[in-house]
Amino acid sequence: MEPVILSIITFSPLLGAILILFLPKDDEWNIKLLATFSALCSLLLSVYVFVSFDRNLGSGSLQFMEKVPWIPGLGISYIMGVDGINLPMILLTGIISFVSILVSFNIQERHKEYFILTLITLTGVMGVFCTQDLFFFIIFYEAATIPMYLLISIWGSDRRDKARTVKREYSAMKLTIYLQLGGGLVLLGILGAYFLAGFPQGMARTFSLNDVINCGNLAKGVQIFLFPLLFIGFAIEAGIVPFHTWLPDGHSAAPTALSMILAGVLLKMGGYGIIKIALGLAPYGAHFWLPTMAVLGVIGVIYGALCALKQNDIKYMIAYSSVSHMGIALLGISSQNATGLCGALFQMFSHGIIAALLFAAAGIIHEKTGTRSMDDLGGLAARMPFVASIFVLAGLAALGLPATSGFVAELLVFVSLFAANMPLCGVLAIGSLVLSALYILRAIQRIFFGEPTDRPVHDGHGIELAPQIIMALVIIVMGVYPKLLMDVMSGSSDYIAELLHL
Amino acid sequence: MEIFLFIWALIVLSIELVGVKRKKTLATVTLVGIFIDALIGIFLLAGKNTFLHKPGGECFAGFLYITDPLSLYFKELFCLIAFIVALISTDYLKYKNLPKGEFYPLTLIITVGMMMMASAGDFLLLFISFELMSIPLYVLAALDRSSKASTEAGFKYFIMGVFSSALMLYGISFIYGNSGSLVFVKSISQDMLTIITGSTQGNLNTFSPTFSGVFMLGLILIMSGICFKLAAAPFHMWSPDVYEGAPLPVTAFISVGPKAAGVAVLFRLFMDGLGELAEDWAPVFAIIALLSIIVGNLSSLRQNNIKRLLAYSGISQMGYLLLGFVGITGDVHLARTSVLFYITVYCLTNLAAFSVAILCSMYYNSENIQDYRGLSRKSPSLAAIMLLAAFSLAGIPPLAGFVGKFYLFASAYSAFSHRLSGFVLAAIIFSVISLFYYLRILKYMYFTDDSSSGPIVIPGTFKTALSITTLAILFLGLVPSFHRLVEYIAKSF
Repeated sequence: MEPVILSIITFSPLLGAILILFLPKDDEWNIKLLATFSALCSLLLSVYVFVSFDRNLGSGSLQFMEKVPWIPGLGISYIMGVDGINLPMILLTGIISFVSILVSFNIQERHKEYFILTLITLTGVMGVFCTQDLFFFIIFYEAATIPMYLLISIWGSDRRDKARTVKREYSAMKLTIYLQLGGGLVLLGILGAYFLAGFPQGMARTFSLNDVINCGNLAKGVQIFLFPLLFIGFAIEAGIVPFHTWLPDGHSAAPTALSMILAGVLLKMGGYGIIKIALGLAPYGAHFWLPTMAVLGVIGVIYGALCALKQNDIKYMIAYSSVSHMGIALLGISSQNATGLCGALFQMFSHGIIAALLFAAAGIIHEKTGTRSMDDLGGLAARMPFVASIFVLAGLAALGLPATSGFVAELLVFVSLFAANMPLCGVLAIGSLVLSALYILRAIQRIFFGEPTDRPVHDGHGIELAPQIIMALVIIVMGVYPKLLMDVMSGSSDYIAELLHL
Repeated sequence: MEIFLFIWALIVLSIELVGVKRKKTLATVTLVGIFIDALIGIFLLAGKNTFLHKPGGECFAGFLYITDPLSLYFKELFCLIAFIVALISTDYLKYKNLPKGEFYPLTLIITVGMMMMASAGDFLLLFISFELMSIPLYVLAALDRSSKASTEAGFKYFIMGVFSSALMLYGISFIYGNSGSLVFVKSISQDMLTIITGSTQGNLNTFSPTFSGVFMLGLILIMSGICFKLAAAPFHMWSPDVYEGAPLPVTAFISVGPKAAGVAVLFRLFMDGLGELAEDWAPVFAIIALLSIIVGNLSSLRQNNIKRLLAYSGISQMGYLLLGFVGITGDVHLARTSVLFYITVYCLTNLAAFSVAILCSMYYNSENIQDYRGLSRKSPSLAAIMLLAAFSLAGIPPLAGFVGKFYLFASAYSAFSHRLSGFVLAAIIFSVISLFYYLRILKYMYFTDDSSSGPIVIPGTFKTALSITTLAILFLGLVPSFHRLVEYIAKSF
């Protein structure tokens, strides 16, 4: 089983989707069971890979390699492999896949299509993280984004409040066009790397990521030109300011499970792409564009926090907090040292879980009370004690309270910024923590405390709570014992940091 | 192959004349004919026939008639197209009460014309086969005599088509006057040439590849004649109107058949015959490609009629395809592969979209996409196939359309390198824009509900056609053996 384990992780959701295709439409129970089982299979195997990953091997070497030549004429092979950079992301995707399927249990209509599309998305996301071939990267990347159009437009929700009305079709189209544009830029960048790489004599052109990095010898001028293409492409996906405008609309219009997938793993595809592909292919270009990246990071952190402060809609608030947190990840990347890269990865992992948890809680609130507007909520703590405590936990983790994973991540990033001699960025980033404390505490106060409304509301129960508990546990475990992740990431972060300083 | 098919067309015609009363005889006979013909082609392609390995082609009544893997590949494609078109037209002809006695023989004759185009090795044969394909198409476009729109479409198509033929002929005369030869195939052997031209002089090969104004003018005129058939901008004006007016199966045929045949000719003429002059003619293709992509995509955004939408999307698709011709100044092999791959994928995907459109228009009695409400409830499989076709046309992985576009972009990129990658960037951005209108079709099918009447019944003929095309959309991009076949064809001359 060892050699194909990554393929099993990636394709088990797809297999589930295909099996569901053959089930009758009204066999709701079996559809859910199959979906859960395939996501669970993916989760358990990714945990297995995480546990049995050899932490001492270090550097950029791949483990659990699979390689099958696909289109030899173009040098395309099907390559899967893990290193310290994608392993945390694979684990994250495993967790989010499973909990998002659990959360989807309360979908009201068209179960069959819903689960098929969600599972295809999950396969795409997992594939993006597992594959080590640039061609397959593109394939998985777009397979992950396209079903979202249908998911949002059919099962999403409109925003109707005093501020403005946003139709879900609009959000879905905006998201799709933006993400496809990102994909197009990345494709162009990848083609550039493929054709302009100076492979040594006797070596055929290849789309294999590692071969291009190691033997590509991209000229400095080419790197300076390629990096922005790759970076902007990925930055759109990662929701970096000023390419983020699809994010709040898209996240908020999506059904709960998809919001979790979007915030939990889709944004991370962008961040992962920047670290693994943009930095890997064009380290000199990254060096050249470093100031721009740092400035975008700082703007993102502060702008996202300010916007979050102003929101009245819970989901919009969480979406803008994602913009802010991805800004911190970008700052970690732009510090260009091993600590910063570790911090960025840690931040992406931790924010993936936290944002998914916040969205899950917001989803329950929306479902039980029928509104997402904070004005109409209040005093929910008494009626929904469980949801309230989960939301508070996630909120505190988001603002970086010690003993949660958010704290470790932000600490690493801040330390790296000072180490990289970028004190101004560091100070501004730390300053933004105040803002994030402000918007999160304000939200908690307005939703859960204060004057209770007289709606009859019940707390979540049974299967609705399972996903929350899982994610809350992960947040605390990673906060108390960060070494679990750090060990995995450190080797590969060192490797990328070395590339950057050549 | 062509002779067989031509005879078969006559047989079908005579069956009609004799007046067989059984309803489905004509369709069945036609399908059997195409099928047998395709089998012959496969045997030729697979078998180690000696004449395939001759350097040049066959000399046939003074014309240069080439049978090589390339022409056989295109002929197989034409057979497949004709087969699917015949499949999807039976019910529609009955529904609209159109004369099928004309439809089937003409379809076969058009197919013969297309096959001859793929085999043509000199300009004379090229022009004859070009007309053999075009003239029956004008008739088909005007098949629905009771409809004003159809008659208008046929007439418009005729006028514009004749004009483009004239342009092409004019161009041919320039080239002949300049080089003294009508032969444009490069790999032709010397003695074969002597038989045809009576002298060893005057092949285009021996024509020194220097830039000459008259020669270039002739080339551009021929190019525009063929681009007219491809409906590439700026020669696209006719296509939306003709598509809209012609009966749906005919539209489906027009949208793939002549385009594939045109590509076959362009392929032989430019990639093989004039490959060395690529530096001169590639910029012209670049302009046509970019113009088609822009015009096609922007005009599609606001179309409500499914035929007009597919017409404009077809214009932009041809723009992408021509990127492959632009790419020849870079990696020649990649450029050839990309064009062959994409035209196959385009034809099959477009046929899938049209099959669904025909079924829908029969069911809803409308050709507006707004009227296709709630299709996903009435027939989930039909909506799913439309979804796949639209995504494949938009270039969404892992469908065949994406792999095709990937080849094309890669090929164009190899020609431009990074200094001109703005060109490829524009193509990619417009490809993203195209998503908007493809998604619009799906929006009505999936997001709006319609409570009226029951599920759609899909006839058996459509089931066959739809399963062929759907399998192609799903797997052509992913099956490595198809890639190998295309690469083999691209390398074969």
